Amino acid sequence: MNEFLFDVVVIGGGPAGMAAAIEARKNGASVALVERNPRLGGILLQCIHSGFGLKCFKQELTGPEYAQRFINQLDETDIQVFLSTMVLQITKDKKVVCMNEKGISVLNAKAVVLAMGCRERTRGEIKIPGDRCAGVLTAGLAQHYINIDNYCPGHKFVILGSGDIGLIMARRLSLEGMTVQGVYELMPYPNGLTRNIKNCLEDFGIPLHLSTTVTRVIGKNGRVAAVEVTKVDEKLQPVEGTSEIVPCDTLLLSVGLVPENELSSGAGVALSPRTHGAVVNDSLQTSVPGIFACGNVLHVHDLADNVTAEAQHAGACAAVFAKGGSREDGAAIAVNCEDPIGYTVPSTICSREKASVLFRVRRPVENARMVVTSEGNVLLQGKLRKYIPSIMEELVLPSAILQKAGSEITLQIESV
Amino acid sequence: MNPKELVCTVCPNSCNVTVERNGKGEAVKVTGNRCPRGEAFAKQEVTCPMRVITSTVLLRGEDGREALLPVRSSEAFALSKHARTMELLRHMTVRAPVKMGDIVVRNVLDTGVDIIASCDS
Amino acid sequence: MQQYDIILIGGGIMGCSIARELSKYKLKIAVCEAAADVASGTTKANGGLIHAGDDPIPGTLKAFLNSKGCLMYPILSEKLGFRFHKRGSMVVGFTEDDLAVLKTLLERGRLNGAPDLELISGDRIFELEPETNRKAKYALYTPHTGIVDPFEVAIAFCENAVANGVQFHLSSPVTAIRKTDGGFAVTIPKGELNGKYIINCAGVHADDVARLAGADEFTIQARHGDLLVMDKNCGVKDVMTLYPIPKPDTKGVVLMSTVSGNILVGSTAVMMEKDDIASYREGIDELIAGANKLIERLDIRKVIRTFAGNRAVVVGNNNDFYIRPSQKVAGLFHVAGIQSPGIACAPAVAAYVVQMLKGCGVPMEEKKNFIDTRKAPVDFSSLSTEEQDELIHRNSAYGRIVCRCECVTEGEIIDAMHRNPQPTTVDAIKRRTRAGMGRCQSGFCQQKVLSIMAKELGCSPTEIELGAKGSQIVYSKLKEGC
Repeated sequence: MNEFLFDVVVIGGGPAGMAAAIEARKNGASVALVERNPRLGGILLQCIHSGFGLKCFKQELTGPEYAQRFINQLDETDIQVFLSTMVLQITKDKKVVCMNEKGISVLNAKAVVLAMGCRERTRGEIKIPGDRCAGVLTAGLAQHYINIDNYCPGHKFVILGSGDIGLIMARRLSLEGMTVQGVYELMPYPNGLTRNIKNCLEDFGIPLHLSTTVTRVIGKNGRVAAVEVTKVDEKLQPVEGTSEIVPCDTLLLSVGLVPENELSSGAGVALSPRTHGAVVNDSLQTSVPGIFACGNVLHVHDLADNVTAEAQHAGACAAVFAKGGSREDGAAIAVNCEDPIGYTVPSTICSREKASVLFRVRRPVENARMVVTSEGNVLLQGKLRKYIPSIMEELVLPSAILQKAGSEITLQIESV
Repeated sequence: MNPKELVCTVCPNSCNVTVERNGKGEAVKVTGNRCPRGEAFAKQEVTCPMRVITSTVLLRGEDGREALLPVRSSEAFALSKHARTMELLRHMTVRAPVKMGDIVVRNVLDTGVDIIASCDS
Repeated sequence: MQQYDIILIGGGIMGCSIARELSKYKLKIAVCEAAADVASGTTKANGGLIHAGDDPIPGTLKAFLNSKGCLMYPILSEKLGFRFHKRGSMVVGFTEDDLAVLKTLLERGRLNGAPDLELISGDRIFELEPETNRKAKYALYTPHTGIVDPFEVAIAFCENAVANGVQFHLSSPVTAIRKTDGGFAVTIPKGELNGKYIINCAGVHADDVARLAGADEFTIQARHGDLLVMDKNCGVKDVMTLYPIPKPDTKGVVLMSTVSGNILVGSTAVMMEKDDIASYREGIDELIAGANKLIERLDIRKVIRTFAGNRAVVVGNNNDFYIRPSQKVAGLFHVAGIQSPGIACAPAVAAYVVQMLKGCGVPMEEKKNFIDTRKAPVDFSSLSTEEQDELIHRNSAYGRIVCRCECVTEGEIIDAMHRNPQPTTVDAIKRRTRAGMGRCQSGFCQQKVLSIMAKELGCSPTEIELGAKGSQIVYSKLKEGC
């Protein structure tokens, strides 16, 4: 067994991991980056569509282009990249046990950055009844078959879920000559970005059915033959008598993403039941000192650019930690939120300089304003605007506000 | 002609834009956009919608193995020409090595736009 | 035309265990299985409980075979290299009425000869299983209840049978059975097989097979059951098997920890069409309610898969097994009506069938060279770090993870492809290696498995099926190139 020592070990070579590694190196740390696939880039490699880089590079790039830019940056550094290497375990004392074709290695780290990303929710998780035949797959798997493996996974598709991956796959399938019967969404509003509704569905004449879900898979001769779709009521329960049979040979699921935190749990990192990611402070440090988290393993983002920004922060903080420093210059301020805000990242703030709080609403709210209070005092009031669940929001709290805050702050969205 | 409502897709702001049109269908007034790019987009959208196309082409590696190379158009071009472009891309093979930005198809369908590689391969 | 002494029809756990038992004798044996893999019917849609023999009605064939079968598992597990965990079980009662039922069950169990049964109450319940619903007042504790992975067991029986000369004909539904001078001619898609005797262990289709052979003597109905599996990280781990108070036809919704560490909940019991193995919303709801009654804090959002299967019920047979020589056709033997506790009984059924054949004058001479052990496949995830390191140094394919959720390596998948019989479907690989059984349900690994299989089989991924006939996963190539 080989042993190595690094200041910072980054787990995951997708957009989060690459940015965190580069930033940690810039901050003077010796860095290792561990990626399970033979190439860097993570899920960006199969996201061949454009829409990346508007914030980071001020131009619209495809997923592979966005990844390539970071790969090129990495190539110019002495960051030790372990490809085709799977992390088996992270211990509390930051030993990263990993395996590849050469055997098992232990990377001893002063700081660890978790950047493992997320996975898709499956048919089992949402418990769609019916036959268990071939032809039910997640949008991401279909994307891999089509964009990486060069295989056609079906001819006539129904897509469940109007998240961005589902919408982008609807366009991709149409372009490649397959039929998309329709996109069905359980919620009364679309879950993807508006521009994706337009560019991916409207451009191709694909109907979007809101408040409708797939209630049964109907198989024939081993493969999907149709699905039963049914309207749902306000409680999201199927309404009897509204079912319809839609013929198709493939059901594509785009029904949400879940951060993959099995390694984090193993290291004793506390997870938030709201985000399914780690509980972090404003340095993106988890409950285990020296273990940081960023990107989709922390909470599911809608833009890779935001992942990059978050990961750069995590990488920098990890490097500071590894060097024995700290960016935590005050007692922790707990960050609370009230409905309709679903969660905030971070959940505590230690810095008194400036802190960025990311959050997402649970449902669309028109004409609402952000109100930040602390122990009954209003610290900040935002402008009236619209908030929607598909867009992650950022609230930057300046030093003046942090100085005024007590032991907690509460974020509210007030409808007018 | 009736004004047309559309969503600007230039950036994630997704402005709701209203386009007033003359008899020929050309835009005469654009409102609702928060930046000049939105106005240009809206004017274009009501006459000839333009999109960047992204797809893949078959790549033959230096070892002879087949893989896919992700490609894109260097700029947006007429949506109406995308189907024919896809057909073209389906029946071509590119040989490795390729660098990001390498031209795979020059001036595709006389649009003045190139199809370029999205990454190194 | 191939000539056999005995042809078994049906490659479920019964067909596999009987074939293995018969392979101890100088007999030429074939097993015809309609599906592409063994253990594809009732066997796979099953909790895998090895009941201690306490439950069946005393005096039934089930009761007799259950008490014998469960004792055979610990030894078989050693010999054939499959996992057997003895976790114990409790039937959980909440009311005085429940207590009365538990007393009846205790009496029944004692009559069946099930050892060490104990009627317990109060804190003792929670000492034995702290996760039990705190409202539980009484329980019937059965320390010897075990659990196995039912397809792992069936595959172990099958591979050991093959090592001893049994021939498995997979993807071979029997379409006709003809009486011949020397026995029977059995038609499968690739031709006719000749056998002196037929053992009909065709699960829910055993009555159809009997009729093909001209023995219209019993009817089978299917009792459908939904099941669900939870993520290993659902917060509840390694629990004792918990039963509710049983209903007349079923033990009710049982909650158990599988040998692989998942919580499994099953099954419902509704009579349905034989080939309907779809899962139903009502069934899933019943499972969730049933599971939460046994363990309140179970986080049901952590379900990773629901599935369903059918159990064979012989009409008018009091839910008992139907294992006997045909009364109409000489040389035909039925092993039918195998429902719960079929898995627990399987090895005892095999021994019972051998006795039945001997009793009917089938010549049986023991082999001297019977191989009674099977080497278990490598399970990378169960090894220590040092063992894993050593394994990778021996073969780098073990250093490549294919299924990240269950930590399955390429080496294990290649190993599975080289076993006999060779798996040909993605589901068959899943059942042998667990690739695709984790929380992502093959979202990340299916394409990798497909490409390794294609390479090993020397075919295109487009030719590989998920499980059932026609269950193609990918069609043509998208980019044809020039």
